[in-house]
Amino acid sequence: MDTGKYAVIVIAYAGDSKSASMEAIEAARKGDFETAENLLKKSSEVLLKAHEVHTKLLVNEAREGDVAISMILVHASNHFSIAEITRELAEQFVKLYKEVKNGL
Amino acid sequence: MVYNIILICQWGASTGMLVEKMLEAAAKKNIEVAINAYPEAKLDDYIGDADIVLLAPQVRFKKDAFEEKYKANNVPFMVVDTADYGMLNGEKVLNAVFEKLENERR
Repeated sequence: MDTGKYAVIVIAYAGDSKSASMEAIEAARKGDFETAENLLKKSSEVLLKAHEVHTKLLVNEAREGDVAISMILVHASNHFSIAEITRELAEQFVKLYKEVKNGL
Repeated sequence: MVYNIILICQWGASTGMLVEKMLEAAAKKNIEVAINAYPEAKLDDYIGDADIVLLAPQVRFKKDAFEEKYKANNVPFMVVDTADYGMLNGEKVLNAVFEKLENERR
């Protein structure tokens, strides 16, 4: 299994998810909550794709025993965590903007 | 003229792998290009010489802000397609770059 190849796919999907989360916050700031919700949905969908590949890497390690750890794998995990955190926070930010704009 | 393409991502790390693939694709097509990856913090230093700036998926959300900030540089920004980035498809990204540069010239 070419783990490096899968690592880059995780980075791409995680990056896509993070950008969608940030774009959701920006849309909410502008009061466009429909776009914000759609972007949050997109963020979740691509994060799920990253998650599937990430899981594949974990299962592969469990199956094959010790897998050589490369910087790109560590880097991919880093991107994955950032995307997850950004997604969680973006949801809260969108809620917050909604409350602010609707006067609580 | 040798086109100077720069790729921006968060830390300039994974994008370096895409640069290698793009250089390979350029060599195959006998196109002479300069392609380098930098972290976004270095954009200030390198945008002056760039013909086009490519953004990795993880910094896509900054495109509007970058275009505003670097308006005076008159350099096109382009987001790398997520699938092409994930598959490190240097050839497809390079083709997209030249298509964009052609359109800009018109």
